[in-house]
Amino acid sequence: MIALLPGESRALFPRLMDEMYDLRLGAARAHAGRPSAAVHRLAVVDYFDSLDPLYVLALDEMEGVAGALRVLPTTGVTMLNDGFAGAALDGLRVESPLIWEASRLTLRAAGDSPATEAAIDRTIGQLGVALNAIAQTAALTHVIGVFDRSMHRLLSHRGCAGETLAPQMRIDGADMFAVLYEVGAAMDAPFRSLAGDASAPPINLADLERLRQTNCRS
Amino acid sequence: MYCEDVFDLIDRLTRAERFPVPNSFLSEFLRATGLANVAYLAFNIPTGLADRPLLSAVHAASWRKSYAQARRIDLEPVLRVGFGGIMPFDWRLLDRDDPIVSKLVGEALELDLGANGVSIPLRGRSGEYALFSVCCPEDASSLLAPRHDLIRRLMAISAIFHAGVRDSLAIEHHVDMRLSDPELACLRLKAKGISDHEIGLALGAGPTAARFWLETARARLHADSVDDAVEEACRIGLIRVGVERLRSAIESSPADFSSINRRER
Repeated sequence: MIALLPGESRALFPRLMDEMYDLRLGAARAHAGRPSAAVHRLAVVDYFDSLDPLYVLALDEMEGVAGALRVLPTTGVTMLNDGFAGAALDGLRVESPLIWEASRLTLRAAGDSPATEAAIDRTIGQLGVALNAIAQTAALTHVIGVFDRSMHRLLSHRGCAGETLAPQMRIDGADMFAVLYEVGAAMDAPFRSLAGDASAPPINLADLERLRQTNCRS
Repeated sequence: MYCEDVFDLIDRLTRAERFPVPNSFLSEFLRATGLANVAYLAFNIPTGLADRPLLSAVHAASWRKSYAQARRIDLEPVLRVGFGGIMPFDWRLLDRDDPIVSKLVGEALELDLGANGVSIPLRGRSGEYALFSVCCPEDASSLLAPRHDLIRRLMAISAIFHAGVRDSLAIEHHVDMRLSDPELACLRLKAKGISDHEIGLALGAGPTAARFWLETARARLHADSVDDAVEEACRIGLIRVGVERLRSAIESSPADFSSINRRER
């Protein structure tokens, strides 16, 4: 199942947020050569998390977080524009209301609990299909992916890496890749083939919570 | 955004100083789309002042009066959903059984504003938030379809409007019309009527990259469409293409909705 969690509603879902940050932490610990700071929770929560992004969460059968990514509009503050000082475009910002940035892709596979290849495929597929669906709902033209080396490699091996947008960049000791997806069938197809039967329309958790509160009141 | 923040925001809105913002842009937009009403609300807009202002603009006079009289506490559901998220918000998704929503919708119907609309949340590079909403009377709800095309148009228009507001409030005006090399190359080739596929090849990439750079160029030039961006780039001298060649290129190019929608010509 795919759940959408607007950042402003994060306080309503502390378990999901904790699990997502734990996945990030596990991924940071798994990579040798990272600065030692990346071994505690604060190091994996960055400034961009404070900007009320949209979190896309892939949940397993037990409603645990199997994978996650973070979405921000490029008209605002983004990793590509503000984390790398416009390295992608000769110092110019990449800004358009029709282009959003997906970053902080994290999978259970990269953390402390190794997942099977099939589970990794399914989670990547679900997240990609959901990202395309979100982008279509918002009538976007493109999504920029900003991923670290391990995620980029996972996506590349599965034919989902998108087109390279900028030279490899470096932040906090990690190599980062900026890639481009064009919203629509071309983006959907490779992810859908990975997701198989597991792809389903995303559920907005904030809407569910509002509905629950309304029902409680009545 | 938490409930307390929303009510604090509304309280600030009722007490805020009003900035005169020309609304000819909105008038043009309404004429072009046939929609009846536009509302815009923003806060944390950079002005160079210590206290960043909260700004609101509402097009319909009847609605303005209602805003003042009702103190707009009733807008809370739209504000919360609109400001809290980044997704365009379709008012059909509002829980109409919620008493607050039901009251708001009732008032909107009384004022002949209609209860159907779309709100576009906006985020700015300086940390500002804004919400751009359109609505129309019930009997004109066909104007809100097809949704995908309308939302794409609204996303583009609202960002242009927001940039205009931000610029008008800025103390120091500096026009930066610098485009990147790939953006200029794409505009130049587009002006010559070359297909996205061929433009991509010329860049050593694919059509996806070509359409990406055309879209970023469109947004940078605050143009309504890629065609308009090409014209604007020619007008201000960013690119140089023969006039006859440009016109024939635009007229002969096929409809392409994969980038920003083309204006009817």
